[in-house]
Amino acid sequence: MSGISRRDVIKAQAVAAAAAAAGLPVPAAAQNLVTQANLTDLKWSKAACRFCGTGCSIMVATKAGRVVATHGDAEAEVNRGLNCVKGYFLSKIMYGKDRLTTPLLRKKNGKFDKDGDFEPVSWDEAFDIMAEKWKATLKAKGPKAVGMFGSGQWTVWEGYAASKLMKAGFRSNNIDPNARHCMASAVVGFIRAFGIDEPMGCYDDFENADAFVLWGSNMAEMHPILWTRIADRRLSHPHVKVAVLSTFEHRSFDLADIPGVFVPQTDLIIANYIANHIIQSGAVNEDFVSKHVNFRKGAQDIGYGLRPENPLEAAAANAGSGDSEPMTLEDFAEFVKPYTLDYAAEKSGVSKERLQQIAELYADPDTKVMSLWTMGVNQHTRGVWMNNLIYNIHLLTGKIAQPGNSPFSLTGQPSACGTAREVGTFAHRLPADLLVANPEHRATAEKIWKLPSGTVPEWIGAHAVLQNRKLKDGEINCYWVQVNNNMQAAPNMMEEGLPGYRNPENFIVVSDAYPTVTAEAADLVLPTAMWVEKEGAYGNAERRTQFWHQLVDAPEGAMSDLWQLVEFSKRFTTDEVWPPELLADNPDYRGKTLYEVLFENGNVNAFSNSERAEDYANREADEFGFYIQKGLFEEYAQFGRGHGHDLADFDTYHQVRGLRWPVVDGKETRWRYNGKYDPYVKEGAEFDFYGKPDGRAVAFALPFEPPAESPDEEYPFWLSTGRVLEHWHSGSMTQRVPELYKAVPDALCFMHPDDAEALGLRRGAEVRIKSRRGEILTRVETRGRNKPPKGLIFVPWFDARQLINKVTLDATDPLSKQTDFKKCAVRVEAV
Amino acid sequence: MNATVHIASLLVHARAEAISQVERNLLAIDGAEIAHSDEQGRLIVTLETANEAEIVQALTDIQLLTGVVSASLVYHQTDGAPEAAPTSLQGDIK
Repeated sequence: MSGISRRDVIKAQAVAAAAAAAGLPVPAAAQNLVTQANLTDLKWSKAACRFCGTGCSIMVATKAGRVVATHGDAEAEVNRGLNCVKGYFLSKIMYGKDRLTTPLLRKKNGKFDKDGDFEPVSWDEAFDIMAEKWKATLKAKGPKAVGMFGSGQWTVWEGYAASKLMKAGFRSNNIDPNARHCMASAVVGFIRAFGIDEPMGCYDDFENADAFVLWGSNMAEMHPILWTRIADRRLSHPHVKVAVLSTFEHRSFDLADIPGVFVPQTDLIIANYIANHIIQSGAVNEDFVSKHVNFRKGAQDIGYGLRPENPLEAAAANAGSGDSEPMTLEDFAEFVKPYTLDYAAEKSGVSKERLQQIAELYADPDTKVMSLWTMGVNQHTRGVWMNNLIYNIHLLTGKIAQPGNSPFSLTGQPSACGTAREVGTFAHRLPADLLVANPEHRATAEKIWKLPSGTVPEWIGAHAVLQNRKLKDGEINCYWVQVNNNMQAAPNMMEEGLPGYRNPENFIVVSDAYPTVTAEAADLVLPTAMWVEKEGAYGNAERRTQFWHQLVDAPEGAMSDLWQLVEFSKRFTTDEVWPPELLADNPDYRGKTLYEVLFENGNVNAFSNSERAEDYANREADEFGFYIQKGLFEEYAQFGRGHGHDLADFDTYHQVRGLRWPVVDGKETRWRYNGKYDPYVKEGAEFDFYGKPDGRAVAFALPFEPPAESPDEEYPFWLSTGRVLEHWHSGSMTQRVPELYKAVPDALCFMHPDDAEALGLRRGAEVRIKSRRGEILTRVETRGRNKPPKGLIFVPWFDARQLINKVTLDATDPLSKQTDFKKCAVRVEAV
Repeated sequence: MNATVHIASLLVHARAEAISQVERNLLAIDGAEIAHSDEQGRLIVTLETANEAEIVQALTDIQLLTGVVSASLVYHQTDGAPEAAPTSLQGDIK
């Protein structure tokens, strides 16, 4: 290859990969070089990205037991070879210098002591003290005094094993995932409107829509790969329009044809105005509505999910009520009538012209609209209502469950759908949308699990925010946190989170790969294997289930969450943790370990290690002596097969780049409820919302109600928290990648230059942000990527040295119990 | 052995009306070359840098250019130095 340098070859490969990703022809010069290039001796395997809910497939290169490179997977439909900057540095998250490799227990004089310092202990000693604490608590106070907090970052089988251990083993429904902070409002919205969780559409909608409306989402930074797909659609099809609604201007506004900055909480008014506009302008799809939609009026004045003694909560007429009563379309029309264009513009601060333009996108029968939202809508004291109000718009116009017509709830975690929601790790749920409060559902779970009737308790467990309150109040005393950093993530840390963890009555265990803020607040820290150090599965926002193999070994001493959960179950016998009545009726279960009844039950241990792929390691399967991931998955899949949640067989997922459930006869489903695409739709029907007994979706009449806290003289600013592109959530992984750390090292207080000037603050000045609950020190930024309007500040929450959740309020949506991290009142002071 | 060189490619989406301005600004970035651009505003850009931090910096700079809507990394390869172990954490990060 004279005249062509090795570097030219690499560059040609780089160009060819980008061209393939963009669907562009590969430049001829590059093609020739690529065919000659054989520069790598790396082993490449696929894996799902570890970060957001987009679910990009990543090619991972290993060499000598380490991950040495990653790139976007060109064969993946989701990302088509693209990578965001976090995904690009994915391999480095495993190699932080302070990776934990031994259990750490707080000790004094050689013994556990809550006030002691962390000392290394063996896994045996760690499990000994844990089992001792669990047994003592279960004996003294019963299953309601133990709890677990998991994650939408658990792999499918980890979440499943955790849920089974808690709900069937310890007989406690006090298990909740951090998805409660993230997706709970979306879930309740789905169940109320459609009776089944998760979006009806999929990412193929991006290439079919004529208009995109972002409700409070900043996809350019939070879902950059999906944003690339929208950008491509918008730029290559000039008729396409993009509307971006938010409480402050951010990077997504660069693509906006119709930008709109609204006053916090007035999204409720805007959505009701759009519904009113559709009705008033005669744009209701009457055929669709008459065949497929019911209308209901929801309970009002439902409170703010605060402690019952809080005056706001005590004053609410229907605190926590999700009740509703039937109404007609005519009643509904009357209900939304006051939400006029004038009223919406006056309250929201968005101009009449822009509001009308957005309403017209929805009203025009020839414009296919995709609505997109994440935390702006979900982290909202009326988050469930907002989800419902968006569905109302799509239902009134019949713009739903068809290519390009798609209300689409995005997710923030890689397996918020696949694990937290589908597996049923919420305090009220069982796999495949089943509920603990429903006796038939419990019976189904007990049958599949081969457990005695009555094993799974009927009471709804404590949700995320309630768990912290119960820890503080000494009602939950043994608590295990896996794959999340909830001390940093949960609201109102100083009044609720920290006092709960440090309550002398409580024993707190945190499994993590790094010494996070949460780990530092614990009594016992367990070192955890992460991502491709174990075989895994995630489910993304479009119902796509994706698998990967174990590609490298975890550092010596670190063990996966799955191993921790299953190994811990060996330390308990049924006699120790189940009530005598249950065992008296079912004597065969006497004297067995929880490991035997939960995991050696003929299902989970049904597949031998000979069925594993030959060229990949599998630590957990080696440890337990059977292909445990396959056993757990196949047992779990029994819940959904034949019930609208069908998953393919285990081995298929190792071959493909994911499949979107329900997978029926080997075929995935792209648009649910649509007769053309969904095998569950009843014969001959065009649409069938089969999650509801009568096959009809529900539109809810719901009003504007004010937020829990608004700015006043003493605390004159709105505070919104959120993320930045370079860091994921609490930064426990991305802050350990030097390049990402250097790019955005510190959280900043983004504020309007006029507000800064009025306070005598220069860009970069140190400030104190103070609420009624706590305060932090940070620095002012008046330029850059986020441009708040006057009266609002934005502070990202990734920075462990500037814990903004000392300031936030633990008000939640009363129905979903999800915290509103986007609205509270603060003041800003020069330091 | 030569000094290490990092070669990366990016897919950039820009507003079509701003494409020539975007191209000019891109070429002002050290180590950036444009391998492809079209009237729909799609560009393929290669970066040749001395380290990964410069790639991140260039990516950030590109994303903040007027007229640029999105920029995604596609490919990256290191050339010239022995296979480096992934960098570890700086000591001061907690």
